[in-house]
Amino acid sequence: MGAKSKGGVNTIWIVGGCYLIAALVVLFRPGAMLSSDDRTVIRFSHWQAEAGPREAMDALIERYEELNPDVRVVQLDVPGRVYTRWVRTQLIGETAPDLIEFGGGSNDIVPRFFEPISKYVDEPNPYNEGTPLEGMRWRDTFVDGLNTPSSYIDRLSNYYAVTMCSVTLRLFYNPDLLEEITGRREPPHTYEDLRRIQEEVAAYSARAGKRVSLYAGCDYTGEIMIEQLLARAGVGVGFELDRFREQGSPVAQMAQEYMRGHWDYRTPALFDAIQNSHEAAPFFRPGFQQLDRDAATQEFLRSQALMFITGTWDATTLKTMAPFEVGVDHIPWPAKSDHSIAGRHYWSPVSDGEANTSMPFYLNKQSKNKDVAMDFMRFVTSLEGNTIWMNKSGWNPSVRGVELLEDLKIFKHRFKGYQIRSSFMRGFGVETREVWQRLTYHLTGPDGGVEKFMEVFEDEFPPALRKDVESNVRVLYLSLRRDVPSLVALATLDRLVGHSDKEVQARKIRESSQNLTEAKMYEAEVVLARGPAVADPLP
Amino acid sequence: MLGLIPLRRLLCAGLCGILSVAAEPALEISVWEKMSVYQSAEAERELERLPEASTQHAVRERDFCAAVVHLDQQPLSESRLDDVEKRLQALIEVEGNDEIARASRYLLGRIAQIFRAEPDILQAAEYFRGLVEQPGPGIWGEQARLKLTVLTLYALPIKTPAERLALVESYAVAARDPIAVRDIHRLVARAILFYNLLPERALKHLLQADEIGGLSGTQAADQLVQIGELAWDEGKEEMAAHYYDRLSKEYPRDPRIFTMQQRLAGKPTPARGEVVNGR
Repeated sequence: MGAKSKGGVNTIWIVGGCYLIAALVVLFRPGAMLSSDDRTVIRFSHWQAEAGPREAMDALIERYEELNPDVRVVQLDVPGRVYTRWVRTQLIGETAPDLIEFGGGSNDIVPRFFEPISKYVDEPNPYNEGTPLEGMRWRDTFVDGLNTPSSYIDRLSNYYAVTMCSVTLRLFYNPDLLEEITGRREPPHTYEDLRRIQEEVAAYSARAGKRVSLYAGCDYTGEIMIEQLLARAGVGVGFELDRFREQGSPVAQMAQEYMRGHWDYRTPALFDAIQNSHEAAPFFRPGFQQLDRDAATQEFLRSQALMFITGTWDATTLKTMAPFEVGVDHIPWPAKSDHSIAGRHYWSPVSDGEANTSMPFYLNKQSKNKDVAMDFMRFVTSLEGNTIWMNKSGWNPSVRGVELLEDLKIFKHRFKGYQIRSSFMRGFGVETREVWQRLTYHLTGPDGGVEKFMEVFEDEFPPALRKDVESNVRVLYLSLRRDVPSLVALATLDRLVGHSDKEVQARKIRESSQNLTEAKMYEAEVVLARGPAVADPLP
Repeated sequence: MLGLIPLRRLLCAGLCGILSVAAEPALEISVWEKMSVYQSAEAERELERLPEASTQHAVRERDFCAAVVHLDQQPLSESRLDDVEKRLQALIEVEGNDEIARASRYLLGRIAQIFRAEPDILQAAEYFRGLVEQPGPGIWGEQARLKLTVLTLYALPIKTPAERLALVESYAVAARDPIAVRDIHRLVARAILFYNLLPERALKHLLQADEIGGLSGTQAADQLVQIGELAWDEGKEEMAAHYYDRLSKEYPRDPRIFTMQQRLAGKPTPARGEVVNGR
């Protein structure tokens, strides 16, 4: 009994001691109540768990604190799986960091919790003094002028984020294995070259008695393959149905054109893409659709796959972990210029996109140190800061004039080319995406075939597309409802307190944008109601 | 709370109060500010904390503010909408065409158009038409004109697309605010293309919109491309080149510049099909 009691007392002491230590750590940490470190503390969060970004951020913090000894910067890297939930909880609990990486500018989080930063990005970045970017508006120092939907939010008529990097899709390959299989270290530059290598890979596998695939396979890489084969073939289709003269119809418009009877998956270009997808299935190991991205990474790192198609965000991870030197090149896709059957509908070159920059950081409205937080962002996106970022992370910069490392030049956006305006696989909405996910094995599985796939797909796709369009209309109604009180409030404030010309202009831009959104919503309703008879007189 | 309101706004509000006999307009300002940035729950709490309005005018301001705040709360049920409608109707009964009444009529139109589970576009159009036809203070007449434009182009029961467009083109003539005129031109151009009517008509409307100007960002870039493409289709190569030149200067990273460069270099490029050429 006495021993037990003594043990209990000890436990209380241990627990109490731990509590006291924890409390002291909390109370005395820099910036806390009892700390003698009276530096201003700013915190930022992100979800980039790949190799590179965290180390780069550490280096940026070190340099920034050297330049600003009265500021302490804390990095919070939160796993991607829980990040969005974590951010929401922190924002609602008013404990969120000062700067937050956040994806998706179209929901309610941005206007509710993030501060517009137009006034900051319209001024020059002082950290660029003495460089070719000196005196330039901060936003003009970005390669895309911050004209990216995550930064400039049209419906809110304001800049909300600054971006750290730019990303693209690339081909990562194993030159040693390539040489072993083909006798050459040079990667394929055309789709036809790629198909020849595939034949050599198959012969090598049979000869060596070990399975090697052309591409590392998983649901993610398989989807990239089919999505790209369809979207690239769809460039010409989108142009042909370019009703609103924007050089190709965006995805919502393509959905309507389908319902108006102007295209389907038997349209020659898209049918060829389906055929190409079927023929590309043996590029991956059998059953790839049931595997996740980590399995594909392992397959590549173990030299069981010759190549890996993924985004440049995986570059540092692959280069760090691979026991061989990783080669990088552009992914060869079918092209008219190949003069092949596979490429006959593929316009090229295709742009890597709008050269939009990525990894946007937003300013928390509740931040007590907004100016300091923005000063940190100014530094990390200055010529010096973004160079440190690139050197340490291996990710491409977002800022103009940063001299690219030799091995990063291949990641640079190739924005000269035709633009992919619509997805034909996963962009229409969740219903059609689910149909694709469920039925693709009819196309790419061991017993799959084009007609076998079309037979089931053509039954299931049209009702799923209709549901997606209906769902998009519902979302538009919700979004419009959300905007009405806000716009009435702005107009009432004009009347009561008198807004500046700039503020009135901002409201008018939002109202214009709302009118256009409404027109698009009613167009979808008309197409849902009348299908191909849209332009006919009402009965 | 008052300490949070910028001094300039307080001064402005004070001046407005003296000039318009609005004794306590500043009291609702912070509520409206929260509403303007989507903080509807905070706005409701703020509204509840305000001291009682003492003058008839102040009560009217308060009632209008409360109706809009109430509209923005969750859940958005039909009974909530009924309640907001009653509040707005009550404001209109007291005075039918001052700025608060006109804003209320506009909101009644919007409730019928987009808030109700079963939209009543005929009723919405009636509210909007009333505001367009009866002159009065504020922005609500022009706002209503644009909403009526959209409804006429797509939703109201009108026999043919040509009749829809003829009606709407007359709205543009009557509009006074240049931005409203510009937006009507843009909406008409879009509807012409949607109904597959002659694209050259759309080009004329977009050129008029361009003359008024004031667009920025994606919308501005898209309009330059639209004019360039329509001009190209009409064989107006010089005009097309001019608009692409503007695109290159104003949006140098827009990948759509590439197509025009290919055309000017005489290289084959994808083209629009017969199905969207309006003929």
